[in-house]
Amino acid sequence: MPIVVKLDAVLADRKVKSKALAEYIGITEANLSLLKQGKVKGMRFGTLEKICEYLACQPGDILIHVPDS
Amino acid sequence: MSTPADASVVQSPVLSRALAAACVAVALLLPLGVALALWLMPVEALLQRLGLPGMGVSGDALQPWQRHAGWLLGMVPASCAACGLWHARRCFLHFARGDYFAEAAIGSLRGFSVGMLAAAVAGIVVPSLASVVLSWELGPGRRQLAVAVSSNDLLLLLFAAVVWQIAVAMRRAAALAQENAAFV
Repeated sequence: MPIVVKLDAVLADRKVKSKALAEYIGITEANLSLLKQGKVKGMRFGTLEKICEYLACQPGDILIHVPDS
Repeated sequence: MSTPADASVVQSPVLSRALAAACVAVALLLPLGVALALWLMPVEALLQRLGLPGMGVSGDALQPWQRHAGWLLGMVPASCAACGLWHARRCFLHFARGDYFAEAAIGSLRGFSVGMLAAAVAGIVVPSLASVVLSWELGPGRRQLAVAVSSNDLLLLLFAAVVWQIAVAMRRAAALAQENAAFV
């Protein structure tokens, strides 16, 4: 998929643990892990809002469009 | 697939299990009761129950093949209903486990509707066939084809169609729930 989730990099950059973010968003760690791996069909705006809020970032920092070669 | 649901709309597992047990009891007792009634009931009373009175057929004049054929025909609606109830039992057991949108539960609900639909159609067709079978030995010119449709048959037909539609809607809901689960 041309949309790449860069959540792992942002989490490492902010030194935030997945568990803490998952708790803040209100989803399970398993679902957050799937999201980080890009193994989900989509992300709700509510989830994106919480992530941006917690990590003090913009949606563009987390989601990147990489055109298929 | 189980989906979380509001506790106020979730049926009690105890009630689901009780309904499953009731389905088993009726699915077993209904064909047995009908078989016994068909065997013991006088032909005149049977014709009355089938909505075919005044056919001029007496029990003494019936040939053994007519009795057996009549008995087999009479068993068809009850057997179809029993099959449907067996599917309903499986459906209720899935509900008791909280698997409201499981593929198997929806399949069982559809099976129940098919069984009831077959029972309703048989309830309309069987009396007609029974009239032919029971009057067969009366000879040419006296054989009869009676058609009887009761409001109960039509209501059962409508009920089965409604349950079928609910099963179709549940399948669609299950697909939507599955798609929704893929979003985080």
